[in-house]
Amino acid sequence: MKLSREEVNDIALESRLLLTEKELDGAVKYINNFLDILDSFKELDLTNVEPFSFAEALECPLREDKVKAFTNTQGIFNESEHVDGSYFKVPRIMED
Amino acid sequence: MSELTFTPVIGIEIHIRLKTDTKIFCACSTDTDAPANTNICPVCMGLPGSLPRLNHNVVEKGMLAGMALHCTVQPRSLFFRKSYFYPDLPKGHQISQCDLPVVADGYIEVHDAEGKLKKIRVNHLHLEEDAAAMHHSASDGRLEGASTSYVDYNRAGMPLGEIVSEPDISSSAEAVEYAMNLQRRVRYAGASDADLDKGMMRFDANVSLKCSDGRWGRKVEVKNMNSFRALERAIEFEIKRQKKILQSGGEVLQETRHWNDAKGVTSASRVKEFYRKFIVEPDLPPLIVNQEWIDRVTAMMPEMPDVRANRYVHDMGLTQEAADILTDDKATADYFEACVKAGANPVRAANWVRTEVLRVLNETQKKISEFRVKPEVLAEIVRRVDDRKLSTTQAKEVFDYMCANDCVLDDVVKKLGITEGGVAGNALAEIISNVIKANPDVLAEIQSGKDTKGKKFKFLQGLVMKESKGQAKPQEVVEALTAALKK
Ligand SMILES: [Zn+2]
Repeated sequence: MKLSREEVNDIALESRLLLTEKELDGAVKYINNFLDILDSFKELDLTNVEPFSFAEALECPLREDKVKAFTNTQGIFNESEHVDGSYFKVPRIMED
Repeated sequence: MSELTFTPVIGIEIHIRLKTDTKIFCACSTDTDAPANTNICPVCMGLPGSLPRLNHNVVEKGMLAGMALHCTVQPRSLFFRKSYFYPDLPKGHQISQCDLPVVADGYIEVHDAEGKLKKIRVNHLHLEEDAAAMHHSASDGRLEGASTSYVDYNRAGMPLGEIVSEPDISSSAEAVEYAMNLQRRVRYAGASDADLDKGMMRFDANVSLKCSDGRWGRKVEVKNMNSFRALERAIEFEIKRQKKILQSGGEVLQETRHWNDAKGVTSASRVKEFYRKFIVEPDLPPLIVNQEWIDRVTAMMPEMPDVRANRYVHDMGLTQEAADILTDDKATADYFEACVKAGANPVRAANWVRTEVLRVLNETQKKISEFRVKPEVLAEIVRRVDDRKLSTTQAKEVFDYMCANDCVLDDVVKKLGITEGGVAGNALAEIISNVIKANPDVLAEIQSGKDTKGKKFKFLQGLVMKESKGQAKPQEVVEALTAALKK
């Protein structure tokens, strides 16, 4: 599998990375090299092998449904410069 | 050339807010009335270093909702990150079970165009977090010219169940019945309040048309419906729009369209659809639900409304219509059953609940849990009518009085001047009027003056005494009957 220049650029944009032409060249090469390595896995017989997602046989730990209010909400507001009263502000997004 | 016909093929995605005290991955409250941005913490704000911790109750409510839709619990499910950039999503991704859901393979029954029952398959219900609420107007309420949107993260991380149907729906009417049925069932199961006004239930629909000439229009996803009416109108609009395109030989584009409720139209979404990339959520290992847990939740499931309505029809002799009305809401059905348990005749109790109780609740805009007349008391009123201790008119007077005042039944009876144990006044007049109505020929004979020996009068008098179960005073019966016959 190979990714095109355009696809790599799309991924970069979604990762909020603005790449120069030169950086994009490098990224295409890097990603496709990596995909080549993954391609070599195709030689393996993976019938009846579950897709891998976790290194350890963990179970999702669960939490009791009990309210514990976070006390330092002001601290969260302080993290942002874009606050108006009790709201966070963002540039207007039109969607009607 | 024969005229083209079109068959709508519709699938629906419904988001319901699962009924929990805290959000899905943090201990913030789910209170919808809280002031903006007060129920927030590093987890639901996506601050670096925070880790999600799954709420046990979210899983349980998801299982209950799924079971209410005849789904099977999946012993192993998984969470993914669904990436997109938008200010309502502080992490830059939504944590969602996507296609490895906690429950799957169910159905809901609806009536098709011929009135026959039809199964709409439910593919699955998956757990996910809600996004923040956006306000696209200025803080002073101005909409025009506002250059800023305001974000309230209280909603970010609220627990949702997304229920995805198979494309088995063929009309807007079926879609609405599906959605209403789903709402009733998840409410019964206690999984969600599914309150549309509070945004606890939201609809998206996938609509395409199959044309009789073999063409099949592409699937259009219509988003942003927040009421049953909007769901119905959006689907109807979309069917009409696509039909027009196909009739003129055009091609329906596969796209996402936005329902505008004020204008009553769908329009192509201007927001660019990004790649929806999924990766396994590395912070949440697989969710394992063992058999013991499944059994425990299964035991929590109450009888579902359709099963209950069936029981009312077959065991209690109610009409299907009455049974459907009573089971529409679980609290009403519970109230009705408590009346019956307290000794009321089911058919008469059903009449009282659906006409009187629901009327008063509707007039006073109250919930049945706040209703003054307890089911045991209503049962007693119904019983007294059966025993002719109260006429129907008197019973309604007593009932209305009790709806408006805190009091006990016997005091009300006394207060309203109803003599217990004897039948007189209105109750007697009611019996007499019924007896006369049932014997028009006797009435005609008396009024024509043929009853010289008073035999016919005695006959009616006897019937009245019998109807009053001997509780009326003979002298009063004679007087009241004489008066009634003169009318
Ligand atoms: Zn939180």
